[in-house]
Amino acid sequence: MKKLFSLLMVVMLSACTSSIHMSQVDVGTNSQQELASGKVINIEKSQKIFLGFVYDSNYVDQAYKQLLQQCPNGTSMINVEYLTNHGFLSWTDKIRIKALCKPA
Amino acid sequence: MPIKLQSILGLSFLLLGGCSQLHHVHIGDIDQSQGRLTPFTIEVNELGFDAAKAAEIGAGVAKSASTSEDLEFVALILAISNFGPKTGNPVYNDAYADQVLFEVIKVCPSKKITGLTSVREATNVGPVSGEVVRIKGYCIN
Repeated sequence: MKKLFSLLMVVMLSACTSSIHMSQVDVGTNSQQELASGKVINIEKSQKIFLGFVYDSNYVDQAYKQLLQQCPNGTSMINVEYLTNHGFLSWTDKIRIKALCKPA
Repeated sequence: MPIKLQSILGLSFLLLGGCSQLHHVHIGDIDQSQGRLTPFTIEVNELGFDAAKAAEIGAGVAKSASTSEDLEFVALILAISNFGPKTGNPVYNDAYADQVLFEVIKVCPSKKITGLTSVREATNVGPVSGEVVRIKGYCIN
């Protein structure tokens, strides 16, 4: 019974841990109108890595391209978050971007 | 008695040895020419827990050899189940900093913001920590 409880504890504790490496907010021009009426967009790109074999970080470039497409007039405020979801002998690196697009 | 003394000393070091650790800092543009600046701070945090390290500590203080071996095995399983790069201790919620952008937008009634500083830091107490994202800045009045 004690061993079963211990096993359950291990399974529960090993589930879905994460680590946020960086979260930064940046503001561009100080336009009252832009912060009040701009559209917020969310972009998330990730890369699954097994046993530490990483050959590129293209997911970051993809997120940047998508940001340019979704905010053609630029951004007035941006939040970039870089994090890792841990797994069994593997992990997933993620980049999350929230941005306030400048109105047309 | 010596074991009790060792345990008390170990626990004291664990509790008194709590320390802050800076992981990342970013300072944005500062504009002091538009008006009076009022500082603000937004902070979000989450409980960090390194289960593998806790099991290793348990293995180190276990009384019997078999318990110590079992805990070392548990530490190994936890380590390979939570594989990957870590900044501070792992957390069980990866969305704790998701709302910082909206909090920053809300905090200034004038909607004019400058001098944003983003800090990623942690306060560690052994295998437990407070994982923190802090945004400081100024509202332009």
